[in-house]
Amino acid sequence: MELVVEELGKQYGTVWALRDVSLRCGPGMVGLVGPNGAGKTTLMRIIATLLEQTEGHATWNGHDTRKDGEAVRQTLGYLPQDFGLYPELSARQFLRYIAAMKGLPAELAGRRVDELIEVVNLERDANRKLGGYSGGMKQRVGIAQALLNDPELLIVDEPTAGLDPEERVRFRTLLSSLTTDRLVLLSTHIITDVEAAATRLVLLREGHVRSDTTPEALLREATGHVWVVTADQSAAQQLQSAHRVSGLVNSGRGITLRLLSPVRPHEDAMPVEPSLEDAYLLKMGTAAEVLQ
Amino acid sequence: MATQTEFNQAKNEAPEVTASYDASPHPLRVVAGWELWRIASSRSSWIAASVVFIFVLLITWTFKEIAIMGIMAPQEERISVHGSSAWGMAFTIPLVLLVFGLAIPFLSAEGVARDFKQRTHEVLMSTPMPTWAYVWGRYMATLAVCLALAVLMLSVMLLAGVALWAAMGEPFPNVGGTLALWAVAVLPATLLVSGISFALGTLLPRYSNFVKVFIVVAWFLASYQGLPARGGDPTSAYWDPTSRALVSTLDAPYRQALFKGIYVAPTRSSSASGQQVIMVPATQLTPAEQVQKLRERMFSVEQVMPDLWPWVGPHVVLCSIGLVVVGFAAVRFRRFESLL
Repeated sequence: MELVVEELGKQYGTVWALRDVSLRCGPGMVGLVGPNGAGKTTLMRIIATLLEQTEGHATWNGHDTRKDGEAVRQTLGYLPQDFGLYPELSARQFLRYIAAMKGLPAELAGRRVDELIEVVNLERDANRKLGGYSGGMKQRVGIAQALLNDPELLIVDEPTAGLDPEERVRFRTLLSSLTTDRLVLLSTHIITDVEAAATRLVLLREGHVRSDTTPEALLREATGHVWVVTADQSAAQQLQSAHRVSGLVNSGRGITLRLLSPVRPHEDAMPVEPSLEDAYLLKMGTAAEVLQ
Repeated sequence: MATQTEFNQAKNEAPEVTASYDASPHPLRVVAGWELWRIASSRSSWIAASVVFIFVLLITWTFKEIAIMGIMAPQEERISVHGSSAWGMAFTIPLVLLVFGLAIPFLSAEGVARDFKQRTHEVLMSTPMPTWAYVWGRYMATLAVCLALAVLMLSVMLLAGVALWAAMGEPFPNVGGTLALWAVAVLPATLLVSGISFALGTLLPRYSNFVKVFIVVAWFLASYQGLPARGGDPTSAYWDPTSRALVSTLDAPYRQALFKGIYVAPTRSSSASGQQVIMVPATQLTPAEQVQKLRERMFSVEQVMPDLWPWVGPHVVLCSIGLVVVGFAAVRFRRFESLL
């Protein structure tokens, strides 16, 4: 079970969306993290055989994604970032439909659909038309369809976009439970999505891999660079313009800032344990750039 | 959602899942079958079928008698063909086909394009289903829907004919003539128009609405082109997919057989569409006897099966063109779009 990506590049017109990307991944969860437009979706679509690269190549278990796409798709589960469902079908009917397209025999498909409906907690609404589903419910149907063939390679592109906080937590829990015996490629621009389960982080920016690391290594790099300080309005403004800010809380005592800096930014600043988000921001650039 | 333990437990209890078409029915059958099932699940499909049902019923009722001539003297008389006869069907079926041909692009251009519009395309394209099976399967489902509506049209025409026979004493429908005309006129048009609409919609999914408009306009123009065939070169009529030329080409021999030995003169009010005549005295028959003879002869003449063989060859070619363009679309179809 191995995904090999070598010097992959994709050009749209004169714009390179992806350039010189090389990866080698085994089982586990790999988080592809980067701001919007970093090339995450392009990379995932190439691996999912939905896009042809301009240069380089990608193989899954030795099968080239461009030349041998059908073999790759046999073990692929894919949840696109922006996908639709047939509104005239119920969730159960839609999953049966996709199971048939995935080549699952009817009896097995029936059992599998029942299991996954339970896994994504849609038992009560499984027979309702998809046209009336909320965004979160549709997303759950999306992950269920990706899991129908029990894929060895599961690609999920920005799965938590548009979900409310509660559903986001549920989704993360579900994805965490899926990382055994398969490779899960999860793209996101929200670092907390991969915090719990990713064993590896690939940080992308402007089509290039900025860092191929682990959450632990990223955290180690950030240790000693994260500070917390509570200041009044004017001091807080000065600190914000002089340092990167990864968090801000307004309270009765003033404004509490979480600052990223290699040196103590203020005499009252206290060093704190970095979060993965702090580490990511330190690595990738300013919060404003990341959160755009 | 289920917890990790619950999920793993469910996973362990479940048999191994393998996505492979080796263990499944033929992929073409899978795609076509499930797409048909999806279409059948949609309320709009049943509304379309109901519209076809009502439309054909109205046409059959409206044209239960088709006036072909008005006799002004010796007495005012109307010579009509029964709509359920072979001659009547040669008029009605192309008329129904004209409208049906306008509906076919709307039924078939979206066969694949719908997935782009509904954003289900990527989910489907990430499945191991072969591209050729996807395109051909979708076309088969589309064609099945078009043919189902065509069969519905045929059934309504025949059943309405039977109802008119039972309730109003109209002649029993000419089943053989109706079937032959349906097979020669409707089947090839369905295959051709659905094939071209589907292929263009598949290759240009983002422009499927333009494809529909283009086909509708082309169908109108072809229909208009087919009209002047009356009395002209019948060879061009054989290639008319709209079968409008079929009406005028078949009309002439029927009239010839009907008016053999009967002498009429056109009046000033005659027009190409509604001839008004007066009976001219003949050597053996008075005008009144000629009218009587016309009435008697109509029953046998209108039921004579038209000679459709000259249409068969060209219309088989039209069917083949429909299938060839779908084949072309299946070869040229790309599973992905290179769009940022």
